Amino acid sequence: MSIYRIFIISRAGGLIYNWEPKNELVEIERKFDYPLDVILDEYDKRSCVIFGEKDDVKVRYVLTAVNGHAVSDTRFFIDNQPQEVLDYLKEQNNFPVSLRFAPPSLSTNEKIILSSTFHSLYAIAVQLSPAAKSTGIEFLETSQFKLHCLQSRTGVKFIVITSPTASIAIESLLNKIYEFYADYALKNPFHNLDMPIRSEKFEENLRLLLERVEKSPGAVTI
Amino acid sequence: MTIYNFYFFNRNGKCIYYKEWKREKHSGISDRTEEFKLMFGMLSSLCSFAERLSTKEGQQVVRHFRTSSYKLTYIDTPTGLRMALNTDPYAAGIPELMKQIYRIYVDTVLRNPLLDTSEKIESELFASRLDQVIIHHSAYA
Repeated sequence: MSIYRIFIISRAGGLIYNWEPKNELVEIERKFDYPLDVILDEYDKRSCVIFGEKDDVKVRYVLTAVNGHAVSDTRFFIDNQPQEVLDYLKEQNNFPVSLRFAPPSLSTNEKIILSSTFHSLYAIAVQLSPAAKSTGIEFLETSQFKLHCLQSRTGVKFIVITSPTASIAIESLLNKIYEFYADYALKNPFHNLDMPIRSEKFEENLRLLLERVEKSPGAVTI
Repeated sequence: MTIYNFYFFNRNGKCIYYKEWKREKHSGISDRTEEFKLMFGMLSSLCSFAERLSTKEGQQVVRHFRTSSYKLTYIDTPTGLRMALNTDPYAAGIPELMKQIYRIYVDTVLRNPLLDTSEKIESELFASRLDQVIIHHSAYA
């Protein structure tokens, strides 16, 4: 997949739609001896690897299970007794231990934070512009992704994040998503502008559009 | 083609050098240092935004962003220096130009043992050589 994510942000900066490809996260289970080779810490209410990589466990991987007990937040239960993960892993007599890790993913909360961050970055880019009559960030390139943003006249932002090597006609893709938004969300008289888009037709058409884009990366036609 | 302005921050977020060439519009903030703070804040949140957004492995380096009328090219060094150069959206060869600016900084400021590198760059040699490379760059005309 060359399209990593799609966000739609309302004019107030709230996330109203997000799409990401459905792929199974491959979890990795490994046995560890004392002392632990990888260093874990709590990050955004999850236990993440912050330093040290071993086998396939990489930095930013999230701990999902300890000895087969699922971890939720930073805690897990043994016989209904809550255990703090980080404290548990400090005790030498709990080892050897089998830990399961999942590759990093974005929680809904993080997606909301990221969209409002982008919303403000967009506004600051307008203010700090050295050239007259500038829009905000339309394109951002980093070593790991390309971000394209289209802001409609009404202030709704459509954001598509692709791989750094993707060669897709993004302009027409963004316009097409805008068209779907206008057709399937805005024309619904019960749709509230700041509420998330919940429309089966919108989802269905977007899915078909993305399938078509992945197959033929040229211009998107109707 | 134009090159608008150049920001140079040290690792504490202080703007140690600023220069503008053909800046058309000002940010509307009367105090320059406030504008520098806003710029530094934007750059560092841009980096953390990119860092959090990407779930891929490997190093995350922000290269540039583009709006309808300008492009901001960004470079940082492992020592925490951050540089941002605003040009017109389709200027080419800007990352190379910024590496050149960094080399000028190393040659004229870092190699001078008498200069305090945490303070504003007062070196005239740095200023004149920076002007030279900018004005002779193909994107400046």
